[in-house]
Amino acid sequence: MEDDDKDRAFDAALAAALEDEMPVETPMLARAVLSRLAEEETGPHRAEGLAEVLSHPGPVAAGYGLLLLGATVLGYAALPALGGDDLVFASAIAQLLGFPGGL
Amino acid sequence: MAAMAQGDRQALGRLVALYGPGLTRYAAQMLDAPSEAEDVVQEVFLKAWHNAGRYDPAKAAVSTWLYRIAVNHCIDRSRRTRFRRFIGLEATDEMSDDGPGAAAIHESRDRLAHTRAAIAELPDRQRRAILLRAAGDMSTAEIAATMGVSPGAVEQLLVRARNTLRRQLDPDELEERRP
Repeated sequence: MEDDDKDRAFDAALAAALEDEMPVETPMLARAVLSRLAEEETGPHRAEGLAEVLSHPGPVAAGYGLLLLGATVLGYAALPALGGDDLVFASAIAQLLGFPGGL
Repeated sequence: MAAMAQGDRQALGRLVALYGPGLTRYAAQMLDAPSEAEDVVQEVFLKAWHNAGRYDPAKAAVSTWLYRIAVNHCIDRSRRTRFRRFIGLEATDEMSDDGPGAAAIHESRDRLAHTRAAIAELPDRQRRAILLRAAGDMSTAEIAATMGVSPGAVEQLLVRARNTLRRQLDPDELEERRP
């Protein structure tokens, strides 16, 4: 029983601490939610993901470049393991993709 | 919820007034970037608005339903934030200095930062449980329904979370906040 009281007091104190850290203005929050709702219903749908990539193309371009480099390295590394029909097939695919180097 | 399903925006406003503060405090502690808490909570209410017609009072209380949405949103948002930071799209969240008068609030801020750090160090499920209790003012049964675990498991999580926090926080630190 005493433990329950202690726990309740602890939870209440913690709740008060959280309230101190994050005072919330409910009317502002309600207004923000209603504004977003109105925006959703009336405004044009924005392609946020695309906008993000267009405004910060560096990291995405670098990621794409790394991916391409990785694929190229992997392709060259795997070439010696191929032979016969596999080599002809890989060569055809490489030429189709425009990477004839090394073959 | 029925009024919201019929397009009553005032009902949405009432829902925000009732659950907005608790949800915001919960999100602020669960997210890596507390500044995103309000944004996440807005999304929770928008989702509630769009899905109000599907809400079944026989399955869950409104608070449980809303907090379940918030729990999932916070998990998604944290994952996205970590990924964006990893690829350099987002800077690490830093506390800004408030300039004049900042010294006066330093002590209070330190205390809050300490409390926040102690909560952040809890294992994820313990953190979720203790925050649903403290920020959401939920009963053990409601927390269990929100987290999808048994009430016994919630009690265990709460006991462990409280013990850890009691060890890490100065007792007076929380004691003096007691309402």
